Amino acid sequence: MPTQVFVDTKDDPRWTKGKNLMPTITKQELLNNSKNLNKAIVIVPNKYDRDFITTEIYQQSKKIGQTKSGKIYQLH
Amino acid sequence: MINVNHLIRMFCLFLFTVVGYGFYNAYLPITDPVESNYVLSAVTMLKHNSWISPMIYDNVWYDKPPLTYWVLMITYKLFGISDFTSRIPNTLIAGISVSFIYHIVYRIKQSIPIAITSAILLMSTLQFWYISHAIITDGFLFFFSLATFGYAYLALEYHDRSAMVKAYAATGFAIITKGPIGLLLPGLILLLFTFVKALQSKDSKCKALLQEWRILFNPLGILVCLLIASPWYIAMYNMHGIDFILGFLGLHNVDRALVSEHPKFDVWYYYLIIVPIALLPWTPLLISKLRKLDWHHNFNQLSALWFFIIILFYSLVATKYLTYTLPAIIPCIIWTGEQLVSVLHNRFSDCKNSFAFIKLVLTPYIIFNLIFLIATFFDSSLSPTPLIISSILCLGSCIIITRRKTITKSTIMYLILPILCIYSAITITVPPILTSQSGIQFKPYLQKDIPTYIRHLLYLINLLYRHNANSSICRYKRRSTLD
Repeated sequence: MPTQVFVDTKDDPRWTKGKNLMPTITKQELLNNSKNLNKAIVIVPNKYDRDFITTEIYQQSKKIGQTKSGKIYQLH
Repeated sequence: MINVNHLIRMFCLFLFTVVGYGFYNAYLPITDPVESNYVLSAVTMLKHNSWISPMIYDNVWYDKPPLTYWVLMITYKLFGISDFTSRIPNTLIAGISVSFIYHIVYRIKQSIPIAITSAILLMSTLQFWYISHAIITDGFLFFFSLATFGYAYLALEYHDRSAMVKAYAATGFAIITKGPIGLLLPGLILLLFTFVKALQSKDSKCKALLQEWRILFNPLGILVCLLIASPWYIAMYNMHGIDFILGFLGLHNVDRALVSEHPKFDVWYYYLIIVPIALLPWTPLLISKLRKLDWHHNFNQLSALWFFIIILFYSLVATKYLTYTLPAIIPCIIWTGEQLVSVLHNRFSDCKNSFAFIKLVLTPYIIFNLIFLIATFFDSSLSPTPLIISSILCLGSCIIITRRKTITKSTIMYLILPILCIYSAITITVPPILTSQSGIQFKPYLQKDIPTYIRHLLYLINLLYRHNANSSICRYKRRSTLD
C-alpha cells in the first residue's frame, strides 16, 4: 500500500488526523529508513521537488519518470 | 393515477440523461482526493465484506453515511471495478432526478411545458452536469432533497398527508446519504414556511399554525423516516460506541461546520460567486424571472426560503465546498423553466419579443460555449476540436431558432441537442485535466511488492486538494495487482 511522507503542514491537525488516513511516515522516518528501502518508488509533486533534491534520499535515487504533476524516483 | 404518456415522458427524460451523461465516462479517470476516497472506501468495504462500517485503508472511517458506498459496492458486485462502473450510480441518479423533476413540477404547476422545460434545464445546468459526472454523495442528496421539497410543498399546499409521508421517506434516505444535515435544513425551512403561511392566514394565526403543523409533523411520516434512517446509526453506535459519535457527529459534522478544512475558501461571499456560475447557461433567464416574481404565492415563498436558507447556512459553515449548495438550485430550475416557457411563448406569438429571447437564451448559450472553447487554448494538453464543432452546431441551431416563426417540438430539440453537444465536447476534452489530478498518471511506475512513497500531497491544481490526495494511486495499484 502506498505510504505518504509528511513534510511541513500548516493545516489544522484535526483534519490531518481525521481526513488523512493513508498510511503515513514523517520526512525523518523516510530518511532514517532509506537504506532499507531497496527499489522503493518515491513520487514527488512538482511543488516539493526543489526541497526533495536537497535531501539525502535524492542522492540515493534515480529519476525514472515524470508526469505533468510530479517526478518519479526509484531508490537504488 | 399517473397516465401512460406521463410515464413515457419520464422514461424518455431518464434515457436521454443517462445516455448523454454516460457518454465517454469510460475515459474519465478517477480523480483525487474526493472521488478516489469514495471508490477506495467501497473497494475496501467489499474486501472486508463490511456493509455497515465505512472503511478506507483497512480502517473504519466515519466520514459519510453508507448509502453512496452501498450503491458503489452493489455496482462493483454486478459489473466489476472500473472507472466506467464507478460513475454508473451518479449517472443513473442524474437520470432519475431529471425525470423526477418533470413529475414533481407537473404535479405542482399542472403544466407539461413547464415540467418538461424544468427537466431539460436541470439536465443542462453546469453544476448538475458536473456533479452528476463525479463520484460523490451530492447527486443522491440532490434527488432526495428534490423529493422532500416537492412532496412537502404538495402536502402543505393541498393538505395531502400521503405526500408528507413521501417527503419524510426522502428525508430518511437523505440522512443516510449525507448525515443529519439531510433533516436539519429541510426541517428548518419547512418549519419557517409554516410560520409564514400562518402569519398570512386571515383566521386565527395560532389555529392556522396548528393546522399546518398537523400536516408537517405527520406521525406515520416520522416513523417511516426513522425506519429508513435509524438502523444504520444504531448499528454503528453498537459496533463503535463513542468513537462513532465523536468521529461522525463530532469531527465530520460539527467540527467541519466550525473549523474550515480549507481556510482560504472560508469567505462569506464564496457561494455568491458559485451559485451564478452553477446555474450557467441559464443565470440571465433566472434573474429576469426573479425581477417579476409574485412573492405572495406560496410556492415562491417556500422556494425563496429554500434557496436563501441553504445559501445562508453554508455561507456560515466554515468548511466550504462548491458541491454543498446543489439542493439550493431546485427552485431556481423551476423558476427558470417557467421563464423559458414564457419567453418562448412570447417569442413565437409576438416577433417584437425576439430581443428578449436572443438576450436571455441564445446569447448566454453562445457565450457559455465560447468560454469553454477559449479555455482550451490556455492548456496545450486540451484539444479545441470538439468544442469548435459544438460551437458551429450551437451557432447553426441559434440561427435556425431565430428564423422560425412558430414553436414546435423540433424548436425544443434545436435547443437541447446543441447543449448535449457542448457537454459531450467538454467531456471529450477534459480527460487530460482529470488525468493530471489522478493517480492513474503514476500507474506505469507502480509495481507489485515495491513500496511507493508519495512526497507529501499532490496539491495538483491548488484547489481543494488535501492530505489524502492520493487514494486513487491505491486504486490503480490495486487494479494493477488484481490484473
